[in-house]
Amino acid sequence: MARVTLKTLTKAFGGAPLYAGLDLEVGNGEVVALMGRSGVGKSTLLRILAGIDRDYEGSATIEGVAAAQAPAPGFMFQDARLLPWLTVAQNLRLARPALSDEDLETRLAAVGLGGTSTRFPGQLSGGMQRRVALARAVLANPRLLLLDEPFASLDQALLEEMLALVGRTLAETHATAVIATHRSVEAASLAHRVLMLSGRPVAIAADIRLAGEPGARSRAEVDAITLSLSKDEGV
Amino acid sequence: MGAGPSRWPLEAIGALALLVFWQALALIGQSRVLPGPLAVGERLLALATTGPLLADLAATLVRAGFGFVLAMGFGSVAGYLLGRHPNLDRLLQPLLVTGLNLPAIVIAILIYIWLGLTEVALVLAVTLNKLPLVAVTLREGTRALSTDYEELATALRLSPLNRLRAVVVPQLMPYLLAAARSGISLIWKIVLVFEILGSDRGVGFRISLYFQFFDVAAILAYAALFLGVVVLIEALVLRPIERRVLRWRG
Ligand SMILES: Nc1ncnc2c1ncn2[C@@H]1O[C@H](COP(=O)(O)OP(=O)(O)O)[C@@H](O)[C@H]1O
Ligand SMILES: [Mg+2]
Repeated sequence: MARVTLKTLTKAFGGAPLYAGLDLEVGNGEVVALMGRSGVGKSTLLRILAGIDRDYEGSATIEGVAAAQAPAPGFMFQDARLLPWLTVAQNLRLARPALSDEDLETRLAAVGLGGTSTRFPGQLSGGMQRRVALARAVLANPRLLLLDEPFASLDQALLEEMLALVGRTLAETHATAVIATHRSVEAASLAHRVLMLSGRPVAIAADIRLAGEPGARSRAEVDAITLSLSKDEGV
Repeated sequence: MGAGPSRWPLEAIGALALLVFWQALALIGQSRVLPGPLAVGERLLALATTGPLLADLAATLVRAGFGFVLAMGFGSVAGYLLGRHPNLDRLLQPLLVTGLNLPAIVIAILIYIWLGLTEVALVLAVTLNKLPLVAVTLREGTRALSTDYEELATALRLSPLNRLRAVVVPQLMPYLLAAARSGISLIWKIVLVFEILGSDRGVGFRISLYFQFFDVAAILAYAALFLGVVVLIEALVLRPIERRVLRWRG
């Protein structure tokens, strides 16, 4: 439920600019999938929107407020990034300190991690850690959700569960979301709109509006969209 | 669960061997200036019950305690700031190098001259001797802080206090513990020296007094007690804290 606006975004890491006057508008409650080959500039865009990377020109605003000053988004890094010296429960409570024990347990169960609240991240597998990170990102019901390849390294069964979880969360909270992803099926399951990024400086090579509400798509519709997106990826 | 010899901690065997060796030396030497552990133990008991030993120990512990806490407190803050601000670090580099390399005894003498032979001067001298080492250790820790976790704190919009508590201090904990460990062993040693130099009570002062009478049994009694206290503090305070805060490493 937060409008996201990029105006003439310009950024370079020394050398050729990554973004040179990039414009983008994501509407309230819109779910956008950010696609493009590795290294194209998906993570950097998410980090700018999250207020983590503040070294750029042009403007990045959330509901008209500069990204760095906007309230905490639900953010999932490309790695799990849990604090190893805090338990799972303590890690989650960083995002939402007042959460009751019962609610916390419910949220953990939703990512298939019931009963792990007193463990330390080092005692969990990589996949489990990423699921804790996902739970942390959606914990505070943020108005803006920024997920960086949230479903990477999940096996098929878990992928479907997590896709359903994020889909439900998005439908319930009407959050605006920008999700970086490699896999067409993730975009087809969750997004209203797909942005294909390519080149350097980055251009939006394709801006595709997908048919129907993500939550209401049938399995066949998701499969069809997945297939057509896979063809577009060559753009 | 067997009580076989393999269950014996090697440390205990080492300590016992040391005592036996010492007693043997004393028996062979048969000299007033080389009393054995039994004689020293007797003397220790006498000094503790009717002598000034406990009062001296208390005075020294208070001084060491104040010096330790002050050096750790101010040294940690200073080290953190130096680690965060490279320009400040460069600006204060000469001061730090001076503090690190000025002999402890010189610092003590100067402070005694400037402030007189007071309790405050003694504690200040102890503090100033230890502080640069704490600062340097914490500066290294601060430089090693992970930017990844910094980014997480930013994404979560943690307040400065929560950022410090949840993200910064846990990463500095190994450095704080290292500083505390080396701090305790350094402070024990210098506090005694400074007491010899400018105090009328305390373990160091008393040892220097017994030195004038060549009363080796009393000197060793004080030293043994002191050693015991240091080992106890290490085992009952430092180790449990270490275990607790580093628990997550499994
Ligand atoms: N900290 C950095 N320093 C230098 N270059 C960087 C840094 N972060 C990203 N880049 C460059 O920016 C480009 C985009 O990176 P990134 O946003 O991580 O891409 P993606 O997430 O799409 O794989 C890459 O080519 C990478 O080399
Ligand atoms: Mg990336």
